[in-house]
Amino acid sequence: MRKLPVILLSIFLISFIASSAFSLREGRGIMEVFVNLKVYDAKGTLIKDITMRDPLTQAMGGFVNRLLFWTASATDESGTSRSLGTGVSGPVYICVGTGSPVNPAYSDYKLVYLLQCVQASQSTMSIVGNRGSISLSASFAFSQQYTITEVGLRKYLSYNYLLAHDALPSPVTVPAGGKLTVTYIIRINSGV
Amino acid sequence: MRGEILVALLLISLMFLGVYTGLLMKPKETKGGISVTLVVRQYRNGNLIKEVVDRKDPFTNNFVQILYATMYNRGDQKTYTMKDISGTSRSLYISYSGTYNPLFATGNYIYIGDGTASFSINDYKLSGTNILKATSSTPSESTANPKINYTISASFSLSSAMTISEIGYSRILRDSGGSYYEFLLMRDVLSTPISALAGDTVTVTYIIRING
Repeated sequence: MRKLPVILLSIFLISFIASSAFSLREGRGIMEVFVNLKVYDAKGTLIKDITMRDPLTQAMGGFVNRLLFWTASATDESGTSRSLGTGVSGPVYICVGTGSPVNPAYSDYKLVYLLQCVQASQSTMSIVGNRGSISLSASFAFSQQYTITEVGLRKYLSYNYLLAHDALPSPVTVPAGGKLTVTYIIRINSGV
Repeated sequence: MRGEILVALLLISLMFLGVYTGLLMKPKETKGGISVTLVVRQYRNGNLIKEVVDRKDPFTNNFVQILYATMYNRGDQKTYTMKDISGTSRSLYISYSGTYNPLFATGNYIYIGDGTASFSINDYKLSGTNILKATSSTPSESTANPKINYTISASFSLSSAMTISEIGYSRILRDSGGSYYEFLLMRDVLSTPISALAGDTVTVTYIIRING
């Protein structure tokens, strides 16, 4: 009888672990977008480091649809719906803002309050095992203090398209003379 | 006897509580990802007799390359290399708007095959020897903010029996010389093979889910 609590606890834990494991498997992504922000003070000391998953917008959906299938449309940053045509090449920008996006959504097409966009570094691509990874980054230098609350990834293809957009989990203050680096990482086959 | 029933009920309740608590821990994350769900259905005499639903990681190196092309940041006329379905490496341009743009091409296909080789990102064709190909449907789109689904499918009417164990998706792209070639973008090995008979119909549906 003294073993009963142990048995009961075991049953609970086994059920819990089994259902959690199943849920996590279902929740995995196959292509995921992460964004990393690093904040440096005026002396170059790293003072904040955040990594989060970034929601994709309708424009990213349009781009992927176009790559996999055929034509697609997307809403540009002016709010105009456009056919994406067949063009591929065009600069990529990383943007930061000071707006307060409420529940960033698939339908987003621009930052709520754009502070600055910087053309990203040349993207790099790597394949390790069955996983692919594409990354690109940009640095922002601010002469005065700013509090960043949102971040986005922009592709220019005759027009500007916002591919990913998110609110930061908490505002990030970049001190005057400090630097912010933002890196986007796209992982393909991330669940393998 | 009554005590045993109570203990049994207690055990069952605890089991349900454990499952429920575990499900509550399921990540509510619906952002930042693109998932691919593959649905294969087998019909005999018009009746659904088997359905396989898989959610794996099917993207090939060819897909990584064209996505990389989209994210490539500067300059026209960069050349990148992809392997067509015959195994020949082809050079493709990243071109702003020129007619040699790789996406300036039409043609989407779905394959079924009997190969069982494990998925490799370097796959450029199905691995089996008995392979069927069909033109895929025009993709349809459905949105339920913040998610969007793109669905594409194809149907196969089998004239002879076959075991279906792998699925592939390809599209036509234009190379830097202006010629058109077919490239495998996704390949899946089914979690459960389908043993189909002559006369069976097999439908394959890919659901590409953004933020899902």
